[in-house]
Amino acid sequence: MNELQDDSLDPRIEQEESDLKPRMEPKKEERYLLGHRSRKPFLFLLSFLVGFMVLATAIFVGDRFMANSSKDTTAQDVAATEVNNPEIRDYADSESVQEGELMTDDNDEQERLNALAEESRVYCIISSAPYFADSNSKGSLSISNPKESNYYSQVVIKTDEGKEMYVSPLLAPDESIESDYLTNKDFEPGSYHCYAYFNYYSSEESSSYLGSMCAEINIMID
Amino acid sequence: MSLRKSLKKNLGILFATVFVMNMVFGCPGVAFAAGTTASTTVNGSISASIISVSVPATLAFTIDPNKTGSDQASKAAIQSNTNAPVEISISGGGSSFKQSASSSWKPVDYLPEELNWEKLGRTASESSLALGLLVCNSTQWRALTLTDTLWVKELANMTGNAVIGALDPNSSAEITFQMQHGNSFSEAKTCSYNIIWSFALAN
Repeated sequence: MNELQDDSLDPRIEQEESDLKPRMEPKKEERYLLGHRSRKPFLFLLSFLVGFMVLATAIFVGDRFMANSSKDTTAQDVAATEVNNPEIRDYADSESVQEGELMTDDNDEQERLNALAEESRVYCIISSAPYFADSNSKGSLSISNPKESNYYSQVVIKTDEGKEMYVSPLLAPDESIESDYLTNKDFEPGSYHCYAYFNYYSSEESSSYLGSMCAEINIMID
Repeated sequence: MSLRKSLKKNLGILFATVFVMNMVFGCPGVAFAAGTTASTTVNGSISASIISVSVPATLAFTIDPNKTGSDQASKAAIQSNTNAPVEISISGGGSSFKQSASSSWKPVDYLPEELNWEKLGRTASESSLALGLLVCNSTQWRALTLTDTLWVKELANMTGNAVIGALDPNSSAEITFQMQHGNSFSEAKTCSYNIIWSFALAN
């Protein structure tokens, strides 16, 4: 009775198990076959992925093709539906209907365009003949950005040949420069025909540049 | 006899008066032999004129291809607050009146006579425009040089300045735009141009 209940105590069974153990170790050929067998899942997975990609591409291309070809079909269907169903539909709110032909108010548009221009007014104020006792002295420039202006301005004065003579600080509205030094002092005494460029900005950033205008002036250096 | 006496007396008074007048006003060197000469120097200084002009930074126009002759553009005043006549001009060569780099629509600039505008199809309409500057009222100008529309393409081919005209002191004059365009647009378009005005004291 006890023998039947507890097999681990049976020496014969232990002997049989010990006989089986060596046989579970794979032989050399078997090991090779076992290694080959271990690649199978990898190959299967690779095949699956390739197949999936081919299938996905085919579905995508097919879908695009079908979408393009179905456009006309859809338009034809809609047109057929409309032609076959010419009933007047109910429309709850018809306040948008007006008498007469389509009209736009030309006067309103003209006023809008004029206002747009007027709001963007920029100013060019400078002496027509600034005088400098010498290139190291202050000269009377009389530059102004009046308070009516909505923009920042900077004045750059260049000679006919394009040589820069003066660059002002950026002037906010209601700021002015009565007199200032030349920023480029490399000029001999004489009279110089120059262009004073007024550059306009909507803010203190260069990227907000709006435009320019210029005044022809004569700078005298004694 | 009395007449002769009276004549002599009057002549005597006349000579005496002339002598006294000469003594007082006519010959000071003689009258005041011991006096000194004096001279006064008058120094006059005139400040340079200040050029003061304002213009709109933005000018706009709208084209409605559905309505013939309905194009509209800003009428903008060039205001001179200078106490002297001022000449208004735009530099030639295509750098002072041109499409803005930030313009979302960049049509090719044409002269009006270069295309048959009414017959342009969609592609040509959406890529072509003739835009020009026009003076509104010639009487507002002291001297008007620009009598016809100044087209963008025309200005690009010019050398030197395109003089618009001269304004009287403390006066203003209006300018606007003229457009030629096709009528086939599949969508709304917006474009912008930059003008660099030039001011100088007028001759």
